[in-house]
Amino acid sequence: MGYPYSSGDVLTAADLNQSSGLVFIKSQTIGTSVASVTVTGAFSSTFENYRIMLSGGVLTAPSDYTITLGNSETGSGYYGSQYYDTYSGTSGTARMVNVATLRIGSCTTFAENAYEIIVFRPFVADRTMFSANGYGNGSSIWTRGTQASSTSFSSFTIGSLSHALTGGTIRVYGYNDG
Amino acid sequence: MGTTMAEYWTRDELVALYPDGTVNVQVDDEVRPMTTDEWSAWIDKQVGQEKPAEPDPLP
Repeated sequence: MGYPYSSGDVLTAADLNQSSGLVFIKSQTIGTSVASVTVTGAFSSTFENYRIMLSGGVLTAPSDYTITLGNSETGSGYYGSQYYDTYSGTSGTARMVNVATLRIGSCTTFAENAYEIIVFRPFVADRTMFSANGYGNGSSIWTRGTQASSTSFSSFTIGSLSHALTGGTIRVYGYNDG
Repeated sequence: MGTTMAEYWTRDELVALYPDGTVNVQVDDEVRPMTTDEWSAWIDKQVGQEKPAEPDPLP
């Protein structure tokens, strides 16, 4: 039985499975004055692609959130570009060439920072790609990038270029492969 | 129109902002203080980072 369903339909597990687009995997509350937060058990062979939502948190002073695959804030092989535009009228780009982490976007000291990060193929033993969008510290941010290795990752770490994180929630969803 | 010189974080400023023992690392729900070695490396990583301007909060 496929979507759309009708009143009175009796749905099986298979029906529900194929109708679930984004599937909630886990959430993680960020503690107080943390340099980084590692979320384990995020990625698996169940889904190829994922969406991470990051919202409600602050930094001690303005900087950028970062994401690193694995259990450490510091990795390697990150490449990408970030475009930002502030409501006050400035804009620019930041490029990452074989750096230790991927910059997601700006975060400030009050809770006006929110990002969505699509992670493509992290569990596959091949390159992982990222697409991040969001707003923070007065800036609209668009970031795209890759982690150029053939490593399979089951976890990721949220950190910052500088300063400590406090509060907020990280939520992980998997895109149903069908 | 004048230009604004960028400012950068110094180690002394960062140590004053984050004394040893006040910064944590978190893995899932487990939060623990950084060791002194971890803290020192984390401080060093930030030295020289530019201080961006804090925008006015929207009304």
